[in-house]
Amino acid sequence: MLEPRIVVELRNIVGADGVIDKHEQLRTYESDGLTNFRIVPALVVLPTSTEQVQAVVRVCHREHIPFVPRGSGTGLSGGALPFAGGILISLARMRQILKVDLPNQRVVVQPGVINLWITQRIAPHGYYYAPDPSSQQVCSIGGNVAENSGGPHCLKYGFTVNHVLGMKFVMPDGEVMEVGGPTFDSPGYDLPGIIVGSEGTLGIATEVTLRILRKPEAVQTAMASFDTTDAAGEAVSGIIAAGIVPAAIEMMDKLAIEACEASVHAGYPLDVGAVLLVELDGPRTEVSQLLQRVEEICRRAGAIEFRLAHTDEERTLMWKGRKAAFAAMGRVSPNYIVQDGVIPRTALPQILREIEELSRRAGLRVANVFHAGDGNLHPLVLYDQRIAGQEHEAEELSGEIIRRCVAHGGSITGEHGVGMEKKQHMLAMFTEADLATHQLIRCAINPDNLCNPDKVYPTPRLCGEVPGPYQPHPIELAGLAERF
Amino acid sequence: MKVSTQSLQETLGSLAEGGVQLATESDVVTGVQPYVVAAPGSEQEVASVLAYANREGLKVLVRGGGTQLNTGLPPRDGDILLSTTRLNQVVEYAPHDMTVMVQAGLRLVDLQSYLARARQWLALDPVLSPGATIGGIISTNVSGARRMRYGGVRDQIIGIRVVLSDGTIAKGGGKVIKNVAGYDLPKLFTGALGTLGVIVAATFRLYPLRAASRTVVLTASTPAPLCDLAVRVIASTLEPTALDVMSLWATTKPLDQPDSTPQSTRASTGGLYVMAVRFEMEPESADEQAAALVDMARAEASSSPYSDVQTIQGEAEERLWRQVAIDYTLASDAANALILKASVLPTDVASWLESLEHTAQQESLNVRWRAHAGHGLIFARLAGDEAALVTAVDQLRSAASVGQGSLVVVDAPPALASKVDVWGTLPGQTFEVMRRLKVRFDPNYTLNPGRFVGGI
Repeated sequence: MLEPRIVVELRNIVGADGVIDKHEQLRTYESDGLTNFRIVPALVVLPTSTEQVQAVVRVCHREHIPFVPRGSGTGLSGGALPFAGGILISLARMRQILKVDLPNQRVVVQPGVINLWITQRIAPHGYYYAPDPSSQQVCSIGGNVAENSGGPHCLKYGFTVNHVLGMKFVMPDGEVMEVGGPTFDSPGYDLPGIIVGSEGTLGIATEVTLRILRKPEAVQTAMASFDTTDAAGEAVSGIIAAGIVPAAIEMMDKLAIEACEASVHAGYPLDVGAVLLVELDGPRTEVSQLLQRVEEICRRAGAIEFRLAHTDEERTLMWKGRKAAFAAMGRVSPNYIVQDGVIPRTALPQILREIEELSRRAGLRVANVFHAGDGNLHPLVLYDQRIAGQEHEAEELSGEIIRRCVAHGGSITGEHGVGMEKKQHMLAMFTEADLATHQLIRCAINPDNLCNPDKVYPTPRLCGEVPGPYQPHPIELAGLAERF
Repeated sequence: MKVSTQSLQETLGSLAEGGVQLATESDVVTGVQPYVVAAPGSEQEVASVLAYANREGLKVLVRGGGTQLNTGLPPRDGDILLSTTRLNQVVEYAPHDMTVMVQAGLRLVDLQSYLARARQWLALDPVLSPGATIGGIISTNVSGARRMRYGGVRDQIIGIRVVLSDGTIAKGGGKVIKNVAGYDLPKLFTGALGTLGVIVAATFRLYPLRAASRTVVLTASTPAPLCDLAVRVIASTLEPTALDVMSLWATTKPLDQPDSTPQSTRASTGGLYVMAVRFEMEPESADEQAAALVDMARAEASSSPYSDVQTIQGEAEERLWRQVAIDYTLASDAANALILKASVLPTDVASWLESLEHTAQQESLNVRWRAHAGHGLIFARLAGDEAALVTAVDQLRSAASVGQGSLVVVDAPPALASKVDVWGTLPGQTFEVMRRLKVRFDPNYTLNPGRFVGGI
């Protein structure tokens, strides 16, 4: 419980309607998109400006109260899981697009702005914001910045970090700083580069400058179906080997296709082993030439069908199935765990066989949806919570898949983040020395570890005030030079 | 120094076997003469050398190919020059995954020819002499004309191995393109000028080489109409990989062959400024896009400001790009000259260039420049009186900051570098965070002391 005087002070900062302290209302915030971790926060505050965020953080810092920033709460790794007894700072009321600069292809937005709103706002002028996580209709830019969110189109256009140029940023001690800016290569260390993807452990972005892109002359989306995931994987390899960089290339296996069809009727064929979605964009002539080549490659790999989206509606529908994949699992299973491992793309056939074997051994079904172009897998381990022990078995299976990804030279997470969920897997990827080195960054910016504590790293490093022994250089002793 | 040069050489020799020599005059780093050059043959040896130096209070300067040693402030001090030249291997190349892991001392030109055999490349085209190494390119965050399509170093690097000043060997990122596990060490070390640790290896994503290339060249008597066209190109659906506007002098380096620019450009009397727009894609689209740009330029009123509009390809095109590929660094004997890099918004390029030409005229400075108008980075070479150069840098920096841009001096002879404001002043809180990062990573200021922003 927080002392009443603190609640009063916070209420004075954000207004009475900006503080939530009723237990039943607080429960709304007990988890993010990863619902198997739940902690009810002591208090939720909803600031509306940088100044309010700063004032709230200052109180937390002064009183030594841990705090957790939260955007839309759609994250899938528990990054916005509250800290017991701490404050949750929701940025959901900071929802303004502050600036649109089309000629320079920049926008400045507040962190609560929903990802899709940006594209909606600029689409009439022929522009779009490239990172497109499947949750883009609800997820916030602040959350995207925290998680370095990806999406299908990251293969060609990069992740959130490649689109963030600058930020106004409230540090864990309540100081505000500007990092980066609207132009490239701001002098000094690449602070936007380390803040993006730090999962809310370094502070709170209150304004974000993003790069937007001109819509290409042509976009073509095609769906190809195959008997097996191996055949589909061969087609993906063929496309990449031909020197083609598609805007997106996505794969779904049989179980995933069934679930998607039952859920949104995207028009995927049901009697096949795998479906590929391939999207090409660029100059019209090039797109149609490359599309022909993609079709040939797919046919050679044994495509049963190769279907082109002829209208925007058809294209949207093809994507709707894919983007609804996680939610659609509800149609085929009461519960599921989604994983986010990455492998070098060429290890795809192997890892799929391993997943199949693991699934068979555990007696649990696994549906596979993935960004085939960059090897980011989303195996969905299906289970029934009501059956005793099955949740645990599903967690075990899911963990084993992650370990296999790392064994293939991949990563434990491609876009969902480490959060609470995958902390224990960090040691599969990194040595103790690696992790201690990473945490030097946290020690520089969040030394008291009040900002989103207990996330990302399995054992938080104690920072200490004066790092390392300092030995003056002889030349300094001689008074010839001064240390900065 | 607490130890004699000889005993330092012996000690280091035992830590980096076969890689330690007494430093000579050619090892001077912007006026600072190190005692010993250590070229470790493994990351373990790098760790041993650094741990020793750090313990003994010796300062370490880091050198790759030595092509950009004038970048940054002159170091406060330097006892040991650590050279990465022996760490020059391709560690792992996965052509079908389009990734490559290389040691830091590998030269970019060598990597590119290695990758070209599989028709791939690392999408970085900085204008540096062939000695430039991967580690140096990461540390200086230098990029080239094609950044507008492919992004810079931070957009290509996916993994890194570094050695900290206390000898800790650590990695960040990995070898897959998509990976969000842990803080982004690769980006932190990009552009850090070797002040946080020594990069020993890095992993990059790669791109396929494109099927065809065309370049549209046109000239004008002032930069403004070219910059205006550049802004219209960016707003169109044309997809150039490079979009450069430059002073004609930028295309005629003194040592170059006389036939180095396209005939009509050289013959032209009206065109003092050149624009070159490159399209790299399937041949038919490259032709179409080049034609569309030519139409765009000609669609101006009858009194078109553009002359010598032409599309080139093949050898002539390659020659043009080699030709303009100068000027990120100074000739080694250049005195009273500097190279600066301004970063402005694409719509501010024209007005900043105006300031540049104006300042040069006012201060009687010789100037030539090359603007990557598609992404707003401009490289300019200024030569003339020392005091005038100092003034010009300040004026041009404030001109850049009007549109929230920045300016840094990337090359200047040591005597000049200690007089001009190389980095400019960062906002207090932003700088404070950078200082804290430095203190955490290199508490004794062992590495490249004093070279970075604010004397970090």
